Amino acid sequence: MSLSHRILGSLLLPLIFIPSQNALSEALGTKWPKASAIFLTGGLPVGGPASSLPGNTETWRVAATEAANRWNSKQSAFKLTTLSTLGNGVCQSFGDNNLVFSLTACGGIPFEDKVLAITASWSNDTTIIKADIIFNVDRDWGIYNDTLLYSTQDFRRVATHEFGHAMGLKHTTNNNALMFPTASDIFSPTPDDVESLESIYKEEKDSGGSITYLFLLALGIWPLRLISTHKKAD
Amino acid sequence: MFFIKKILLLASVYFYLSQSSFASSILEVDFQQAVNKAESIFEGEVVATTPEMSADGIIYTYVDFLILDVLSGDLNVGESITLRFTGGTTNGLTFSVGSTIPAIAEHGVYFIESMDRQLINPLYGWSQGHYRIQADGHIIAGDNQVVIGADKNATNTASNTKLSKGIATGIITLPQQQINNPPLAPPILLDEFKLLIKDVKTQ
Repeated sequence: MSLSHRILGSLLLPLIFIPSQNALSEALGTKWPKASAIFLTGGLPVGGPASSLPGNTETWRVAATEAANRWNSKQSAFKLTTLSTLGNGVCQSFGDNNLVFSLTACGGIPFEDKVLAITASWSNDTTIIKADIIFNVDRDWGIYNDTLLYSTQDFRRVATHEFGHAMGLKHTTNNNALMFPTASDIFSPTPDDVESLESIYKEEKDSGGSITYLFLLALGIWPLRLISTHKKAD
Repeated sequence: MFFIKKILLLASVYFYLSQSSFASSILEVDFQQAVNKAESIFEGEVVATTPEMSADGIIYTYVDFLILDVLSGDLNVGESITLRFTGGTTNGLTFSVGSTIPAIAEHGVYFIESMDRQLINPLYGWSQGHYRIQADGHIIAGDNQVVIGADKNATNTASNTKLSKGIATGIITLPQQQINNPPLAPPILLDEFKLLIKDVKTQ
């Protein structure tokens, strides 16, 4: 098969290969120990965006809190709290969890042109100990709902998405989810996002039993009592 | 059967936890852009990785590549270059910005954004400029799927809002388990991929 045939064949693929609509956001493999985190928004500027877009009457800090509340109002597996005080330790492995606008990413490295925001996280093994969300100040930011504007990034929408990463979610292939990697008219977590988050933080309860379970099996002990407990938990 | 399933599930979770991640919002680039804007493109092999932590806890991983073939730019076959990636693990602490760091012994095709400027990730568009080559010659793109083709003329029409899914617009991939199912196109091999890059470069 020639190269041109391969290319032609592969161009037909989008017509016949439809991504699963039930795909959940994947977990990053790390999670917070207490299923909660406090983020400080005092590193965001006082005030809000200058442009007059519909819904663009709020401040950056209020928008960040609303982004956190979009998650809190949809689920109870993880609690996000925002405080408008100034935190310390931005881009350091110790200190507070922060949201900031910056010209540079961690380490004073300028943002690449293509980077909107980064979630920088520190973890010990699989436990997250600290996270900062840093927005590229060089992009054109606004605050608005509904239809996505190609000229202006919606700060609140990106903040909601980045909070998803900060809690431990990866991108999803479900284009009806907030954690789908293309910004869209979706600005709040969908059932797919919620289910993914719940699966991470429900796991702790289940995996404790499962590890004990494997240990007992390895010892040749049939863990009847655990089996019945586990079935109840399921 | 239930127990076996449970064990398999745990094993797959463990395997899964060791995978790399995406945790940042990067705009999507198209294949043409990646080829033409990358300062250099080369086929290489990772011969060493060295994580270093700064005083404030930022970990950088220095990755040494042996250059096997030069597709564009000012590099020489047989020489070694070192690129710095933000993120890594040292002394039990992991720092991540969602950037995939090439692993030791990895064989791949790499699109370098800049050798001189300090960047979060020196590869153009992060994982969009990172292609791993498997032992069977298949190419794995940044979305961890097998490359089966590329549309050289694809352009990104929403370049200001479309976030990267790990691959450049125009690169067509399929999950590993689907690649040999007819009528889908077979995987593209390294030589064909390099030819595509050279074609786009000379367009």
